[in-house]
Amino acid sequence: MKRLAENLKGLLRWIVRWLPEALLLILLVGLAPAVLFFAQAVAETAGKVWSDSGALFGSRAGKVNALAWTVCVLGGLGLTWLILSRLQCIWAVARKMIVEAMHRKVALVILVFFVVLMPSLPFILKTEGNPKSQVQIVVTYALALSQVLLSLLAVLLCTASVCGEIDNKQIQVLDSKPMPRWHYLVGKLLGVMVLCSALLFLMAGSVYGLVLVLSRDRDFSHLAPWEARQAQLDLAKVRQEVLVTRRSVYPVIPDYSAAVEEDVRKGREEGTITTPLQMLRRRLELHKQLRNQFMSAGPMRAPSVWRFEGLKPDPSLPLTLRFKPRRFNYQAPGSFPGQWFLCREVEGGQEAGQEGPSITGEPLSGVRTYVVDRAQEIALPGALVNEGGVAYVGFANAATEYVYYFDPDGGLELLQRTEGFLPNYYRSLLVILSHILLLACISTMAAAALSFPVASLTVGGIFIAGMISPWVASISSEPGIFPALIRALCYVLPQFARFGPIGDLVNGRAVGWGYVGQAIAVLGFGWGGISMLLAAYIYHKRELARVIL
Amino acid sequence: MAKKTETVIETVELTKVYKDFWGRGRVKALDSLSLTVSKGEVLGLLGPNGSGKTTTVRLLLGLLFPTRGLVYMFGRGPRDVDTKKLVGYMPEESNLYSYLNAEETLNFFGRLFGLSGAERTKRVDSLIEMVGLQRARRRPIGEFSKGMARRIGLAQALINDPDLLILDEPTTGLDPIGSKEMKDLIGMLRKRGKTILVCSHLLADVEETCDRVCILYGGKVRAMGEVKDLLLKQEMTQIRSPKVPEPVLEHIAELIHSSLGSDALIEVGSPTQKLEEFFLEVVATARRERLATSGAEAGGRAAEFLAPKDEAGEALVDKLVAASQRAEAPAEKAPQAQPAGPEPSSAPDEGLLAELAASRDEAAKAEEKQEEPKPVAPDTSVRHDLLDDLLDEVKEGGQKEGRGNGEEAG
Repeated sequence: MKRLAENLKGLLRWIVRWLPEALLLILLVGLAPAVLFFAQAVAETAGKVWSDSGALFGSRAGKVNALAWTVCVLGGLGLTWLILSRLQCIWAVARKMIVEAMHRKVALVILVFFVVLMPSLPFILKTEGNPKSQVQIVVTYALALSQVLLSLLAVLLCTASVCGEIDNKQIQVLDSKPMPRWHYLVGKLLGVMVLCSALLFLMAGSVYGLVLVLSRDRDFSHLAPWEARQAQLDLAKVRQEVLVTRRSVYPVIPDYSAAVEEDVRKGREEGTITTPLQMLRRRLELHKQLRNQFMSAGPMRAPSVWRFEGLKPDPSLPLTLRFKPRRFNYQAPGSFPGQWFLCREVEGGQEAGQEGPSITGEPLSGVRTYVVDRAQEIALPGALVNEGGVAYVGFANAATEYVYYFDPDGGLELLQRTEGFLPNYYRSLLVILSHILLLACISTMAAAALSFPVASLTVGGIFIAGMISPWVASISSEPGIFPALIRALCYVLPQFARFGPIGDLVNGRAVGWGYVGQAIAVLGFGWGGISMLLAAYIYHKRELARVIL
Repeated sequence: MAKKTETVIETVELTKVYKDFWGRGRVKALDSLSLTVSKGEVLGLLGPNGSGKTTTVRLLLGLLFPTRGLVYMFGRGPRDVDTKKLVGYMPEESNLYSYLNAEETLNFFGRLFGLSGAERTKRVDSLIEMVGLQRARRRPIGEFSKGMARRIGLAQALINDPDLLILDEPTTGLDPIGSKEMKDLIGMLRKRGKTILVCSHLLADVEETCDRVCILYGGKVRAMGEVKDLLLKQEMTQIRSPKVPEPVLEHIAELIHSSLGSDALIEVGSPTQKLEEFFLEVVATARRERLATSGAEAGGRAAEFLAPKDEAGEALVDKLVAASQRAEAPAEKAPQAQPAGPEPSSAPDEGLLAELAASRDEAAKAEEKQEEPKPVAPDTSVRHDLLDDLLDEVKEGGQKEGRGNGEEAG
C-alpha cells in the first residue's frame, strides 16, 4: 500500500514536472491545422499569382486576405526562427511562467470556475425554449465567458509576473544571466500564451461536447405525434442553421463616387457648399442616401434585383437568404406584404443603353407578410448560382404606400452551405486566441514600464476603450475637430470589437480563413507586434534596479 | 619586465546620481570611481551602509546605468550577453523564486546559460552537494531558512562556472560553518584563477579572503590597496622570532634606546593593526571631515518611545554612564590613546564597572599627575561597595522624588 502511494506520488511529480511541455504540445497540435492551411494557401497563392494574378487580386477582399496571409506567414516564419534559435533561453522563462501560474493557482481557479459554470449555462440562461436558441445562447455565452476569463488571466499573469519580479528584485539575478532583455519579455508572452491556448482548447472542447449533447438525436416517442414532429423539425433547424458553416455574401452595391463628386461639384458652383466640412458632410449623406436607395423596394413597383458574387457554382450546396427589412418612415406599419423572386441573366435580352446583363425572374412563392426589424431566413435552390458564381435575387414590395429597405451593411445576405460546424468553430477559436494574444502583448508592454496596479488598470482601460471604440466612432460622425480627434483615437486604439467571430459562428456564417488571417495579422502581428516592440524598447532602456524616490 | 595582467573589471570615473521623477538629481550614490580588477584577483569592496557598494555592483551588472563614466568587464560593456556568460552573481538577499525547489531553481538558471540536459543535471547535482542541500533539494525555497537560501543563491551563481564571481554580502545569514565554507570556497576559486569581487560588512571575512580592498564612503574611494599594505604601520618595525628570554629582550631594548633615544617606545607583541580597526579609522576620518553620505550615519540615542519606563533603573544607568565618562577622561589624554573606536555602549558591563571602581580612587590622582601621563592598568576587580553606594543614592533619590510628588499631589 505504501509502495503504491509512493508510486502514485512519483507519477504525480512526473506529471507536474512535464506539464509545461504537455501544454506546449496541446498548443502546437491545436495550431497545426492553421499552419497547414496557411502553407496550402501560400502554395495556392503562388500558383495563382503565376497563372492569373488578376483573378486573385481583382477584388479588395482578395487583396486584403493576400496581405493578411503574407503578414501571417512572415510573422510565423519569424517566430519559428526565434524559437528555434533561442528556444532554450526563451522556453526557460516561459516554462517558469507556467509553473508560477500553477503555483499561484490562478489558472486552476479559472478552470474550476469555468467547469462549474459552463454546464449550468443551459439552465440559468433564458432562451426561446427551442433547441436552436438554446444552442446559440450556450455557445455565445460559453465562448464569451472563456474569452473574458482567459483575457483576465493573460493580463493578470503578464503584469503580476513581470512587475512582481522587478519588485521582488528577482529580476536582478535574472538580468545578470546571458539573456537579452527582449528574450525575457518574449518568454513571458510565450508562457502566458501556451497556458491560455491550452486552457482555451480545453474549454472549447467542453463547450463542443455540450453542444453535441444539446443537439443529439432523442427519442420523442413519448410526445404526441405533432409535438414529436415539431421537436424533430427544431433539431433539424439546429443542424441546418447553427451547426453548419455557410459562406455569406452581400449584394454588390454600385460605386456612387462619380455621382457624389458631381453633386458636390454642382453644390460648390452654386455656392451651397463652401467649406471642407460641408463638403465632407454632403459626401457622407449622399453616399448613405444612394446606398439605401439601391437597397430599397418601393410600393407597387417592379421588383428590385440584387446581384451576389463570390458563390461556389455547385447546385448541390443549399442556399439560404437571410434578410432584415427596415422602414424609412416610422409611421409605416411594422409588417408588410412582399414577394421574393429568383432571377437569372438572359442572353441577348439587353436593351440599348443598358449596362450589365438583362435579368428575368420567377416568384419564389406567393405574396407573404414580412415583419420589420426582424431577421428571417428562407431556403433557396442551389441551382440559383450560375457558373460564374453569381446569383440574382429580387424583391417586390406589395405594400400600397410605404418604401421598405434592407440595410446595405448586412441587412440582406445569401448564405451558401460549405462545410460542417467544427472547422468554423476552430477558426473562431483562432480569432479569440488572437484577441488574447493582443491583450497579453499590451499587458507585457504596460508591465515593462509601470508597476503592477497601474499596469493592470492601464490594460483594462485600453481594453474597454478598444471595445467601445466602434460605438464611440459611430456617435461622433459629426464634422468638427473634437469628433475628428475622437475618431482618430478610436482608429488608433486596438479594435477589439472589429473581429468578433461568435455572432457569425452561432448564426452558421462562415468565419473564413481570410477573416482569421486578418484577425491574426491585425491583432496579433499588427497591434500585438507594435506593443511588443514598444515593450522591448522600454524594457531595454529601463534601469531594473532603479531606486524610485 | 612586469607580467602583463588581464583586466577583468575596469571603471573610469564612474558616477551615479539617483534622480527623482522630474529628473532632478537627489542623491550622488557614487562619485568618480576608478577601479581596476585583474584576472585572478579577489577584491573586497567595503563601506558602511549607503556608501555605494551595491550601486557599484548594480552598475557592473548593467542593472543601473552610469550618470557619468564608463564600465568595462572583460573589455566589453556590462550589458553584453557574451560578458554575462562569464559572470556569476550572488545578490545580497537571495532573490529567488519561493515556489521553485532547489533543483528546479538551478535547472532554470542552467537553461538560461544554454546548458544541455545532461550537463545541467551533472552541475545541479554537484552544486547541490557542494552547498550541502542534498536532503532539501525538492523542498520549495520558500520553506528554506535564510542560510539555506543563501547557499542556493551561491549555487546559482556558480552554475555557469564563471570567470568573474560577484558576491554581495556572501556570509550574511550563514552559520559559522557555512561562513567558513564560503571563505574556503573563495580561496579555492582564487586558486583556480577566478576573479572575485566581494562586497561585505564583515571585515574579518574580507581580511581573510581578499588580496585587495577598496573602502568606499559617501560614494567615494577612501582607501584602496593590498590588504597587507593598508594594514602595515610604516613607522614601526616588527621583529618576529622564536620565544626570546627576558635578558635578551632587555638587551635589545637597550640597543634600540641607544640608537633611537630613550623616549623610543618599545612594545613587545604584534604591531599589526586589525582590518576592523583600520576600517573604522577611515570611516571616522571621513566623518570628521563631514563628508556627505546618502547612507546611515552614526547611531544616536534610542527613540523616545523605545526608552525604558523604569525611572529608577534609568537613573542608575545614567549615573553609571556618567561615571564611566568621568573615568575615561584621563585615559583619552594619554599619549597612547587608541584610534577612534565604536561608540561607547550605554549598557553597564563588567569592564565598565571595573573601570568605575578604579576611577573612584584614581580620579584625583590622575588629575594631579596629568603632567606625567601613564597608561592606566585596568583593575579587573569589581568594587561592590561603590555599586552599593550608587544603588543607595538612586533609591534615596527615587524616594525623595516620590515623596516630593506625593506632597505636591496632596
